[in-house]
Amino acid sequence: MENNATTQKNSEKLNVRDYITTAICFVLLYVVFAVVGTPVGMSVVGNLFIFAVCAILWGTIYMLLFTKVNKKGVALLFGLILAVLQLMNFWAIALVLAIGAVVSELVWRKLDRHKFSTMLICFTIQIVFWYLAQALPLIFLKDMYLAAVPAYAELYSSVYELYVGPMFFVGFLATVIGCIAGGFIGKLLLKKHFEKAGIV
Amino acid sequence: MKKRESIFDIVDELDPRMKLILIVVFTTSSYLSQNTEALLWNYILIVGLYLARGLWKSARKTAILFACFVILDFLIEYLPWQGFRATLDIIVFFLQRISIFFVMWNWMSTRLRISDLTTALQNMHVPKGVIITLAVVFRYLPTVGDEFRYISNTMKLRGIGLTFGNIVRHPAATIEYALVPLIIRSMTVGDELAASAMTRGLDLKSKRTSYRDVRLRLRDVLVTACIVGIAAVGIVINNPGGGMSL
Repeated sequence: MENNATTQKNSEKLNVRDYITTAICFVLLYVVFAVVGTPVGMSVVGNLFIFAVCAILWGTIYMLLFTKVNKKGVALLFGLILAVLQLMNFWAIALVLAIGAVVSELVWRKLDRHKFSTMLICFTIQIVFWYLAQALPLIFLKDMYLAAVPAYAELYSSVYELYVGPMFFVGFLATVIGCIAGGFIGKLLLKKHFEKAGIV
Repeated sequence: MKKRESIFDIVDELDPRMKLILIVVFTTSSYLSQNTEALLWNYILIVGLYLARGLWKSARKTAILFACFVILDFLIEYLPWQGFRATLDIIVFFLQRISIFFVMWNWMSTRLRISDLTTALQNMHVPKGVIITLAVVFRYLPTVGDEFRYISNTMKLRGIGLTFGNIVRHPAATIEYALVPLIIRSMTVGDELAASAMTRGLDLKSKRTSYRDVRLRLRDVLVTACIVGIAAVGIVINNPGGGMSL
């Protein structure tokens, strides 16, 4: 009986295979961001919709990750790696992303993580926090932000003008819609391809 | 008698943590570079880093890439259409800076001994999960481009290539045909990596030992400090106002 409980406890913990799957998904997420997000973000208005567009593709990657590594800690690990990488940009972005990682992990633990809705909520939280990570430091720490990235100062000044207006909410809503669409597309593709291939 | 190490050996054998610091430094300095002169300084240093490790072929490729950016930057000024010029300007501007991250990542991951990286991070008491994840990211990021090229070639053979026309006419199908095989292939690679990692005993609870002597030496710190110093000087000299604002 005790042996069974220990085995179950061990299977609930992240193992090497899970870390590797997380890393592979992270690389895929980054590739999508580089290939799709970068061209979208090259314009001032496009900056508002980077995450909305990318989320449509990221949905499949996140759904696969959450289905394959359905364990405690995966949302936190994934979000924190993202935050660490953003330290190269501006510390406040990394901070907001880290908060997003913690919030999504709390939701991941609180709700039934085997449900699609939980996966969708956690995915949406992480991406929405990424959107906020880009917007909030620019709104509240504008001068410090622009001083930290002087090369982008002109572009981000124009983006700031959009963020302080109603467009912030348009971008926010678009990100949420992108996440929901991405999540459902991911669910569909998981059923159509990945289950057949024996991956999940 | 111990053979005296050349500068090539020292930079090539630089501690992985110092190489990580250099990625952060050059990515950050690209954000701090407000003009082409400051960027050019970074470019020269980065090509120099490739040369210092004896990575001649990669140094040539990187130099060509950077030269293209500089030439493009120069030519854009002569474009007669202002709207088109502004659009192209911002695209080149982004590419000039974002590419530095990938170039530096390639510099670090070429000939990188993943076991050295894991040992170095383990010595810093970084959690095991983060070490394994980071090691796999370093191992897989340079490979994912090749994987995508194979998939793209197969798609072309089947008449569903990743062309602009196909993306416009059938966006959903084209993305599905590209993304799904890439994910499936990546998962297969992941399984192979996991099997390899477990064979090497990466999942054991005990502290991992290393055959090679991986530790932070004074020369690693000095070489890194020297490179960081030269990069900082470039920013200070070339940025308007003569200083950095952090």
